[in-house]
Amino acid sequence: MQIVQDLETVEEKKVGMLHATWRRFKKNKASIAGAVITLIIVGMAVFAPLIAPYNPEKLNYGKELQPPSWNFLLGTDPGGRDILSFVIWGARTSLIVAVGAILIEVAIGVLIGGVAGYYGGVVDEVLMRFTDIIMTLPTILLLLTAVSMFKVRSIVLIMLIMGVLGWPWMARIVRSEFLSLKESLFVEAARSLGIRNLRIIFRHILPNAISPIIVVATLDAPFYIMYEATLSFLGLGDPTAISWGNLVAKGKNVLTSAWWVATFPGLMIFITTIGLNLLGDGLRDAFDVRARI
Amino acid sequence: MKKKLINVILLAITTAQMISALISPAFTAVEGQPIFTLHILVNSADSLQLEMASALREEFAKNGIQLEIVSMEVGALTDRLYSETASSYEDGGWDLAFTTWWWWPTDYMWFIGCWTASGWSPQGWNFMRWADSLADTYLDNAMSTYNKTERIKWLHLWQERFQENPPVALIYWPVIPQLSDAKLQKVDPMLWTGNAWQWYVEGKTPEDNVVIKYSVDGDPGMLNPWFMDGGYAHLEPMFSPLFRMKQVSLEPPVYEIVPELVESYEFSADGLSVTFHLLHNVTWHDGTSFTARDVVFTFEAILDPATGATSYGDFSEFVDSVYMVDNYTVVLNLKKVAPHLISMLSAGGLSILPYHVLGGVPHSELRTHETNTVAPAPGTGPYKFVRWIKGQYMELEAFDNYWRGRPFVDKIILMVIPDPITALQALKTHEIDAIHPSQCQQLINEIPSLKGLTDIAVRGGVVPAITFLAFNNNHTILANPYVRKALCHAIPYEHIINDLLKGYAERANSPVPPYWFGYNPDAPAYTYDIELAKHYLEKAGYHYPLPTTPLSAYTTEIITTAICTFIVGFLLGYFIIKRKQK
Repeated sequence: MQIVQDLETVEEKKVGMLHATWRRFKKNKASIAGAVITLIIVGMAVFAPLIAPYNPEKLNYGKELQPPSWNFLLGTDPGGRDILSFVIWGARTSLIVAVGAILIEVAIGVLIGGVAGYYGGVVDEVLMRFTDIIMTLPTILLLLTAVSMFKVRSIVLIMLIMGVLGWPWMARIVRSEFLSLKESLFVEAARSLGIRNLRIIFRHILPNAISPIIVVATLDAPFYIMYEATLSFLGLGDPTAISWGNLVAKGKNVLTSAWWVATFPGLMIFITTIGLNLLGDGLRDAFDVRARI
Repeated sequence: MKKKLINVILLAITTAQMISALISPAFTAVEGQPIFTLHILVNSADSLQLEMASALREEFAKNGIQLEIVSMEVGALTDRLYSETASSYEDGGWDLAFTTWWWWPTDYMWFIGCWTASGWSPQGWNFMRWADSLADTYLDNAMSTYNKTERIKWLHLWQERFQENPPVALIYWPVIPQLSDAKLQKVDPMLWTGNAWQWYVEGKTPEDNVVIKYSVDGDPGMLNPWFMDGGYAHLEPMFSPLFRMKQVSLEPPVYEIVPELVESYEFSADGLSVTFHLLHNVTWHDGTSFTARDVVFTFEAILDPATGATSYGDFSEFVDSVYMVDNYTVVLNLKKVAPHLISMLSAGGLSILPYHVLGGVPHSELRTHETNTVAPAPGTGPYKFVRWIKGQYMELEAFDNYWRGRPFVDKIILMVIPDPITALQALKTHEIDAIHPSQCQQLINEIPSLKGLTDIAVRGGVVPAITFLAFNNNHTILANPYVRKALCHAIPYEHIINDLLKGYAERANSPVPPYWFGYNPDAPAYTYDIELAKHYLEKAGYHYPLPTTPLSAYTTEIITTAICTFIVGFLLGYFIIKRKQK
């Protein structure tokens, strides 16, 4: 009975911490704006089929490069596709690529950072120097090289490559968290009880290091969205995919005669990136990550 | 416990959403089970191919054919097209692909290599692997006589046979709008800078210093015309073949082959040898005089496989040997009758190079010789080389001793401007005077915006090229001529020509472009007709629609999203009410 009560207080305390974070978060107007923008974009992505007025791949014969009108609110592209529908569906591709890359980044980053931070010594040295090497390489060049090594172009490939190349920053953050947490009393206690190292890493330390991970992941998301758009723009993505970058690339060729083709997807990339950045900044302040490290 | 469950469900739905979006259904896909699936390869750098493929995907779906678009770089695409072992996309080859072939006008030297069974890769260009013995006979007959009427008769028959058993779906002959300064005359969308000696500027006299800036999309790979790989615009004004193409009129396009280094020529009675009498007053850019020795050196080097000249295949198939009678007389011995010989000798790849510069170089080292990379060997053309700054420009200057006389335009500067839109802006601000035709083709959408500008001219007509949808004739499904005919009827020709190309193309009924030798205006053209396509598919044994007709991918996606949304909403509502009650 006593134990149950204790657990409940712990639960309440957790809720209390979340509440405190939320209070800090909502104090900042910019963070709220970021959260709202992100929510709208996510909503657009999830409900794309219900919102979009047309099938985004449907070619409207004879309606190529129409300026914005009541029929096509944002105009049409060189193939006669409705740009509004395309932009709404494009949110899906962008977010999926970003989320997928982040999941891969977190998996690799946490593993490498966690192991390096927890074990220290030679393991730490080797892993961190390797991380440094990857960090010194310019990301966009590395991405370009990696993607052009493959003959077939696809969005999934871009997602995988971005995730596989994007982990070093995450690894460093996780490592620094682990360095401080592994000295704390509860880890000492766990170790003295004879709990296995891996279990300590994943069940005891990791849950306590979750907030910096969330912050870094959120701050990385806009980069992935931009990288995906960049690669698609440069023709290294899948040109048949419904992606903002592809539409901007198409619009580039007709920029002087049909400004709407490149403008709207470009605007969406801009808004999404701003929204996610504001959200990430807000989360960082709210979690008070730097203060706690 | 319940909270955990809800989290798990939420996570499951998100993951399901992600997966469903990742496999990214083609929404214009076939409704229900496709009768078969084909893959179309498109060049990732060519946005027009992608738009055409998207239209085909929509049209083919109406007859139950699933079309998958595979975009790849041109190198990988060519590897697949010319793969000798694979007979379908699945085993490393291809099913369908768009191709544009350029011909040299007036005669058809490449037809044998392109459309007959003996032209199968790697010997020729027939990567479709079309084999039709009747068509082969017609074409062989056309190529084995000098009698023009006879040749036209066989070529007409061949074109009819071509449409009867189509190896490819002929789509259009491109019309290239040549964009240039309105005062600059005779710039040609097919000859590029090859007729620069004809160019003149209205309102100027030959005494004026006239400089023409011409945009190109990149540097030449090499400065030697024998190994031409994209440097035509740079090299053609500098080097002369024995004959040259001359623009007679641009609308409609009429060309004429004129002797360049030759005074006269005659065929022997059996047609198996030709004697060329060369001009006496031709000099190389370095002042040395041009003689028969240069011609013999050139043809012997090209006939030697060790040289690796691009024209080796086309040339050596017909030409056996070359010898010099005196300083200004050369004789070519032929292996067989070559009715197209004169037009072949007007191609840039058979330009004459100087014996006194390259004569001492072993044939196998010609490809790597220093005159290919830094500054070219002297030529006999109307323009001589001045300087080349890689990535920026190449400057050519009129040659005073050109045998036709010094050309009107004193300087040609070939400016490297990779982006067509930038080139157009430069033309508008008079930084350049003409745009290379390959870039003009990408500016079709911009042409309406040039209407009000009187100082920019848009000229040109059909060029001698053919754009077609190639079928892999070795593919198990496409080997059936009825299937190929069905696909020919399922192409929205009007849409491609009027909407995608804004009318800058002409519907093709023959691989031979109009206005050219042997063109048959009566060859039947395929019409866009879904019912007829269905009829041919049924003849081939494919029936569509199948008994079950489930929902289309797009509708399914909408329903899935609606259901997911409903479930998520319900769970969230439940969760919130539960918490409030607490």
